[in-house]
Amino acid sequence: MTWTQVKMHSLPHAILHIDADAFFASCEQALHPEYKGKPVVTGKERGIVSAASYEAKAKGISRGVPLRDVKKICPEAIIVASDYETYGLFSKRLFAIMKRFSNIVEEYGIDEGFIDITGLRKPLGMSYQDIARTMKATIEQELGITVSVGLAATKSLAKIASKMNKPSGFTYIPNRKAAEMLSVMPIDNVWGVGPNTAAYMRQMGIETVSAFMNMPWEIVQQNFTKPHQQIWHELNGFKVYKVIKEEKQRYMSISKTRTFTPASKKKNIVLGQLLKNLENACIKARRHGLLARKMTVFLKTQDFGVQALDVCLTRASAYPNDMTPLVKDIFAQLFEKGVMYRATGVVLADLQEDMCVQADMFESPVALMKMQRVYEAVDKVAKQFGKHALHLAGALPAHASQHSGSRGNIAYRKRHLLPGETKRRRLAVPVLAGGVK
Amino acid sequence: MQNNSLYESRKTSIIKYYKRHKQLPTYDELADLFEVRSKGSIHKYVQKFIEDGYMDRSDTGRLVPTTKLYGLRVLGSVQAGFPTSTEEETADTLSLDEFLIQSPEASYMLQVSGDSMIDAGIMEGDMVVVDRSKTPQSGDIVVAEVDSDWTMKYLIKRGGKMFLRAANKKYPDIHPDDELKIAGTVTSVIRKY
Repeated sequence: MTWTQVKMHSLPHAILHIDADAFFASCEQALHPEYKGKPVVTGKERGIVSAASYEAKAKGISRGVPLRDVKKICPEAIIVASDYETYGLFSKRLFAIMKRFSNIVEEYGIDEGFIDITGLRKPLGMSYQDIARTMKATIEQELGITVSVGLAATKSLAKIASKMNKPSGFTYIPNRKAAEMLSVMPIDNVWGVGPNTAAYMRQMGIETVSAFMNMPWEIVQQNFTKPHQQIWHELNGFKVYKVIKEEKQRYMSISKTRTFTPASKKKNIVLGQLLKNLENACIKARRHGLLARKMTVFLKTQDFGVQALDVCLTRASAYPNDMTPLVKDIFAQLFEKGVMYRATGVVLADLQEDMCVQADMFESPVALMKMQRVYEAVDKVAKQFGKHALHLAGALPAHASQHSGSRGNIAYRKRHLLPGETKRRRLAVPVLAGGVK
Repeated sequence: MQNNSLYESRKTSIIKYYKRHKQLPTYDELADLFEVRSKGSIHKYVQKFIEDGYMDRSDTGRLVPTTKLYGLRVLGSVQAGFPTSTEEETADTLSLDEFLIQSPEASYMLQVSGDSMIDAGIMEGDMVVVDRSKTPQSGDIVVAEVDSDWTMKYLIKRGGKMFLRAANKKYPDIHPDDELKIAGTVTSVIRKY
């Protein structure tokens, strides 16, 4: 197939990019009628904006803005604690609806996905544009949030398209119109073109997407490396990137993080917080009968920097005693004297079922069995006397200051449990907030 | 003690197997599961599981689970609390989830406050399942957004107009000023005691 042929054919492939608009804030607005049409910001527990509704964006609030600035810019803004559990439920539903239409769905992020709908006109009895519109309408009706949709022949074009008309937009970029439609689109808007590449392109006189598209292939070959050559193909409507239908990862990672107020530069306090997160992550892993083989430890500083290190465990574990020496090691490498820290976190990854543990070659199997016994007992005690009834001594500083965080930092959903729910386990169904009169 | 915990862990692994495959393992599969070779030892465990009521043998000799092994099943003609040993067509049963929720991606929960639907048998504290995917019909109980609050009422369509009516004479009908914003249709009511 030659380039001209591709360009004449409007959609040799049909790829959709669906991107939820201000996802976290939209979920809140879908459940809280009193938030509708108002500036809503999530991230109360972190002290910075994690998502801003379109009403808040209109006032100049964006992701990452400190909340004290939000109060200055927009005093009427509604600031709520993030409810990742609920956002996760919405996300699952979002992808479940996409999969009703096509089985080639790539979960690209919690709130965005690619769908390959090539060849589905006949089976679905609709044009590609109508499939896109129907998916959009179904998601919007069933989730009560809006999404923006891009339809094009490649992932790169579809991703640009979904951005062109936000919120709740639908944009179709046929190959033969792509250059015309992208003639004023700045080159930075292309997926995979970072600030450095964009600067380099601007030096070459490429300001817009179509300027890049229209460069002769020979020049592109001479001046750019393979990833950017691929982008050039994608923008010209020739599919390079596949929609990757991920193997359903059975277990995601378990992540525990907590911002503590006030921030601290004291070693034992920061380490205590970190160890408590480790314990929390392990409790969750054990509750689901899982063991981790990888662990990430991170520290967040007051000025919003993050330092993190990954380690592989010699033997899968969900026992804090096992992992404490490692965590302390990493902590010693990350922690800097005199720096103010505001949060710590532990991520357990590469999870496996707690059935057949391959023991570490140099470890006595008795030690492992003892560890299992100890934590069986710890969990039993916790069941009867409450979580953290038994905990690591090193985590003591974190437990002492447990109540310094205000109740308002806990998500609404967790403060308003349904009958029969517990603090630990709630129904896997989003709850319309405020009760119904 | 040691043996007892082995019994427990093997029981757990059988439950896990059952959750995943929706049927119990054969002796060969049990050998893999327990990581043993001796059928005799497997037989001993199976006998113990049957004795303890976790599984049973069907007419054809295949192992079948009992309700004690895993979870609750809704069985058409079985009275509550009356255990049965007859084999059931498990494929024809609904989980309580499926029974209460027809459209899993479009259903939401909501807790009732107030007594405006008392004559429909919906009480304060009840939980309702709301389906956003259904087109509400006249006479359906719906959840609507009125004055920045959720409200649950009967939907009435009359002469091309729609309004909301409580199931309690104390409350007047609600006629929307402009558009009636219906969030969804109530499909189930749940009450926990």
